[in-house]
Amino acid sequence: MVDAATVRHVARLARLGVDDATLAVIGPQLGAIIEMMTSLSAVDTTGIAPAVLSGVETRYRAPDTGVEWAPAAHLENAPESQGTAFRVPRVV
Amino acid sequence: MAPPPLPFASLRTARAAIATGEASSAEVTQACLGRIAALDPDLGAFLTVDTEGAMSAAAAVDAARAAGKALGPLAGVPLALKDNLSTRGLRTTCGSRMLEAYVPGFDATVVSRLRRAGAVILGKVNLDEFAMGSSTENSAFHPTRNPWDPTRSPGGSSGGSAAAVAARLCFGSLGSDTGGSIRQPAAFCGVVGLKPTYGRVSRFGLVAFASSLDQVGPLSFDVRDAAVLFGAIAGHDPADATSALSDVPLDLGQLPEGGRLRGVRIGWPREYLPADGLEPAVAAAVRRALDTLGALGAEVVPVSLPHAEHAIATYYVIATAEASSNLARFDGVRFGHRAAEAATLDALYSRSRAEGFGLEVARRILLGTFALSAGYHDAFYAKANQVRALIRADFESAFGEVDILVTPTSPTTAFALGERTSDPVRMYLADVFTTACNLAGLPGLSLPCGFDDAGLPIGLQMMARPFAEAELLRVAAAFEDAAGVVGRRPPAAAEARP
Repeated sequence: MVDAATVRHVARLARLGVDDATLAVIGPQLGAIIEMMTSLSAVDTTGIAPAVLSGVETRYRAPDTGVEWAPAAHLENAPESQGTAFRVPRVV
Repeated sequence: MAPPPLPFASLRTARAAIATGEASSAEVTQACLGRIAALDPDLGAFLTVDTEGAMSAAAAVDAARAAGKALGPLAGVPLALKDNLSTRGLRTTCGSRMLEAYVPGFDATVVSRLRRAGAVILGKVNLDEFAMGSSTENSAFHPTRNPWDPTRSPGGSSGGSAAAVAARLCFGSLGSDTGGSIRQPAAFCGVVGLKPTYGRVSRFGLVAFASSLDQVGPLSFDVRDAAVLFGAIAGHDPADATSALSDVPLDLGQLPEGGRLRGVRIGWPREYLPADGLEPAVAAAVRRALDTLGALGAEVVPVSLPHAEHAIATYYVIATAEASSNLARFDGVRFGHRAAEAATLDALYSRSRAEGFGLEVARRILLGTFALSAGYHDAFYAKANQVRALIRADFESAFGEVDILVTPTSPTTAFALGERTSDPVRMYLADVFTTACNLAGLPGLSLPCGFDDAGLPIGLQMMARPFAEAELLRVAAAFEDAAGVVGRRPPAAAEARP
């Protein structure tokens, strides 16, 4: 069900580099896990609404973290920065 | 170097002694640091020890006591934090090369609540990378060993928390539980672990794995210590959009000694006893536990959870889908590992992530991306959320008949390090008893209920209705008092008896 091309495609979607050696290990494992997940197809879910959240009543709203960030604080963990900006490889 | 003894048998007695001046927080903290120095090089529970911060916090508590100021419920008590909880100024690695040098600029809400309660933070403890695993072998830095047998896993992903508590390196710890990551290591290490109701404890500052499943909770020596820690961290937090508004019961630490359980109905799911792969010693210990609960006055009856067999598949679809989304933030731009000399932005993303994430995290990101991708979304992710609704309905039905559900925490006692690392399906199947609790958002607790022939602890899981932690803790404390297994300590902590 999951061949190497599919794993490479999914890895591209995930922006996750996967070399051939990793693929050789991970590919069969993914196949076995997905086979286990496929067992769900046997469950009759006709008319069942999906439960995306836990089911516990909460009042969903924009979080108020109370944390104020100065630009310099944002940059403290930046791998590379320039002035008040994160530096990345040239895009254009 | 011989470890110094831990001077008190519980968090509660340590706090009381510090409050009366019988002991100083500095002395108690120094004892913990001494035990860490002596025992942790072999155990591997800690990733970061904050000696300076801990001694400074201890001195502040001692000064406050000397000045006659009111002390918090955890005043002067040394604790350890799972290293996926953000700590201001103290690195938070998530057990990953990706965040090896990451230092948060803020405290998680649970951390600030512990500090406000007077706790002393000893440092950060080991975990499976980004909390993904059941053995703490997926840490990028080193595995943690089980204090009962160093050739065995402490469980995971909160294995560092469980091992540190079991070896008496601290008086308690916080972990996180997405599919059993507090309860299973608590079972493997012979300590108590509580996963609260979803929404009960703030997730703000917990590095997200699967946002609809994650909860922070305590690991402790006994049930009453768990109640004290839970009381300190629980309650509404406006910084967490999924935080519940329910009131937190007060004085949970004052659970009566030798409580009876008359009027309590306890159910054991037929689907779990027996179950595939359940070790005979574990099954026997759970059946003895049910007898003990009955002898305490509870009515013990069988119940049914017809969709329980699908919990693991459901969990691994949903958890990996949410993980693939949550971990998209680690891109080598704003924080975390960055690959050197990537020529394009796309190469920067994919190489930084390939170098920063370990194999299990990569596996789960790929599984989750697959489950969400075009052509597979309906068959996997949408289907899993429908089955989740059925699993939740099973619990609602069961809790119409009983107050508490009892199961094994894990089908086995602690397995050997290395035994399952090459077989992820086998590793995942060991979560058979714990994942449904997260899918339904219920509170669940593991506490010791016996030992196998090799002397390894066996965990008993109890689950309750949403927000019924007080009832859960009361029943667990009554069982703990009656079962008499909680005082037994692993070889690494045997000399710590006060």
